[in-house]
Amino acid sequence: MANNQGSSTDGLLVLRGIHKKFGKVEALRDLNLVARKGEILAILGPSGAGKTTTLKIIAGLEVPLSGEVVFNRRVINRLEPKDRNMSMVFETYALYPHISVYDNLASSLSALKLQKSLIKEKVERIAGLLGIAAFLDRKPANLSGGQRQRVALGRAMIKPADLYLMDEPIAHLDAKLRHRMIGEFKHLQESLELSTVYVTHDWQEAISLGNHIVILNKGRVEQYGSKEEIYEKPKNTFIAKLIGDPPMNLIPGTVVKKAGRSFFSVDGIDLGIPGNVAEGSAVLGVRPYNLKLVSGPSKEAVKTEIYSFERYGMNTVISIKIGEGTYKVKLDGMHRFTIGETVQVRFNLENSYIFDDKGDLITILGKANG
Amino acid sequence: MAKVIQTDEKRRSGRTIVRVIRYVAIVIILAVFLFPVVFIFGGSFKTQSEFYDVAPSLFPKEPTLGNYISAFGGEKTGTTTGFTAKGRLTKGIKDSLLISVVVTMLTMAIAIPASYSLARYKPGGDQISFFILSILFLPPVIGVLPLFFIFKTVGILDTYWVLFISHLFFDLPFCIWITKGFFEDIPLELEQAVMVDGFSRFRVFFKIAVPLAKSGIAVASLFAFIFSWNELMFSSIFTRSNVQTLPLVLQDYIGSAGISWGELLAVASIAAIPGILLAIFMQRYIVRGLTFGAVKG
Repeated sequence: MANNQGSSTDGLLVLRGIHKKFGKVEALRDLNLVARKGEILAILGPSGAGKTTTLKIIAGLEVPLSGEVVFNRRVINRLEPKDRNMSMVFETYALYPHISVYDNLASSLSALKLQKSLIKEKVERIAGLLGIAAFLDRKPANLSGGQRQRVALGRAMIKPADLYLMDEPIAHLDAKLRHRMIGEFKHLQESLELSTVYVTHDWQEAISLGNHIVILNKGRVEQYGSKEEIYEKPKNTFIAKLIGDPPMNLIPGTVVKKAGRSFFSVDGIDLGIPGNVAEGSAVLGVRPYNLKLVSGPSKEAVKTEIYSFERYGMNTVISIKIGEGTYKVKLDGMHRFTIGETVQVRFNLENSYIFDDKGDLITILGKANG
Repeated sequence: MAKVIQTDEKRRSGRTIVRVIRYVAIVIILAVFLFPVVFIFGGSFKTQSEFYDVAPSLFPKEPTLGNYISAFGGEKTGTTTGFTAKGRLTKGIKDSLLISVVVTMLTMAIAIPASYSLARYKPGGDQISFFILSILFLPPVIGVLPLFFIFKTVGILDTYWVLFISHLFFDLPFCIWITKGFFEDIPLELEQAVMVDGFSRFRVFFKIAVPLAKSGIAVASLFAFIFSWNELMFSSIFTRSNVQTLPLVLQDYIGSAGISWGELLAVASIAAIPGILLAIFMQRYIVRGLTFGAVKG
């Protein structure tokens, strides 16, 4: 397996070589992934990457063209959704509009034919936990967006399932509620050791929740790894751009050698790079906090103008222009600048990345190759 | 300033003209559509002699219930002629009710699952559902001759069965077509959510699809009912004396000895009641929007 997801046997859920087409559109191409018991596997990717299709194939709502879905060491390609003992939060919520919140929450329990008193107890417990106890007799149409999302989450969490599938379950909540829900969800998940596949387009959500992260792009796995691996060792520029806020600066240029030392040359500026890198056109990846403003004359610094600046919480992010590109510098604290002001920027290239012109990682600077 | 006021006035008078034209148009259109209704209801309370007045009137000068009483086989009130045998109208209403109710139930029992299947699983691609619709393009008279011989061979002419089957034949495509649209409007993910909750595809149909398409089902049932209630051609060809639907009874008031206008209009008024009820119900049910709130807002 290209993405080193471990052997297929230690996973609760294993997808092997999944292909899926919608008409002529290839939604998934040779998709492999492993979700482990008691862990959250975060599937991260832009829209159209095939995240929801992957979840629906796992749930049995879509049938793969080829490949195997292995769950609890059993190939379940042809198993009906009702027999998979999974639970799912839909991105569209998919609340049943004609019945009350209570009946929405109780739906999966009534499928299990539990006693009415037991259902009531469970519904009230989850409703209390998610703060929706006051709306139990309302219809979904009479709820706000945030309330609907919590009902959707509650409806999935109430089911005693072997695997929970979450399709952007908190994407439409406001920031405050999102933080609370991440906390609640993490608490539930860890205390009950719920196995979860969590789909999101938000890298911060993926990093804060996922034990492992799989990055999808155009129906293919770009990278699989722990959150540290994904952040510290992005396999290509696609992942480098996806993870980090503001995203990593990707500066196209060439690696040249002068007097035995390697330089990254862009728009007539030579930046000395640590280590030995082969010559040729390349892309330099440097995170915004590795660029520093310096005052006074400095050999290593690049003179440039401020293109724009914005506050980022308690920090400041400025945009600078080098050649054709605009790049971000992240500064601690709140600062004021004027547009067009000349500044000197020093590149701290340790822990920065050199990608080849196809976008694949060549090396991490200042580190042993690997 | 003066100019501004002038143009304002011009605009206002222009608007008034548009409004007047609109109301006149509405009145003309309503007059055309409502004339028969008013004529029938008004006429049903007239005495027979009033129909031969030189200056015909819409409303009766001396309103009488005599037409209704004699239509139901009661005592003649002198002015009406009473063409039909006692009890024919009661039998007509009974037969029409029986046929309409049974046909509606049979139609919907087939149309609901059929249209759901067409909407969700698309058997036969788009061709089958178009083929079903295309039956509607045929004038029903095309089916009459072959059906007559089939029914004759089977030996069900002049029984209820002949009307159950022939009405079903023309009700089904229409009802399938209506309910299919309502099933297609239900977000697929609602049904998927029910499946993940642990219900079979069969239960999904009853738990989600049918309740959410209920306004479509109501509209289709009402149409099926009215079609059977008003149907004349099949009844007049496939039945004789054993089965007498209301439109057949109505037809009998036009006899060789003349037309019993008063009774004819009284029976027509009774026959029109389900149609009027349909119009009132339709307004309430045809409004979609049951699925509102199911998807994110």
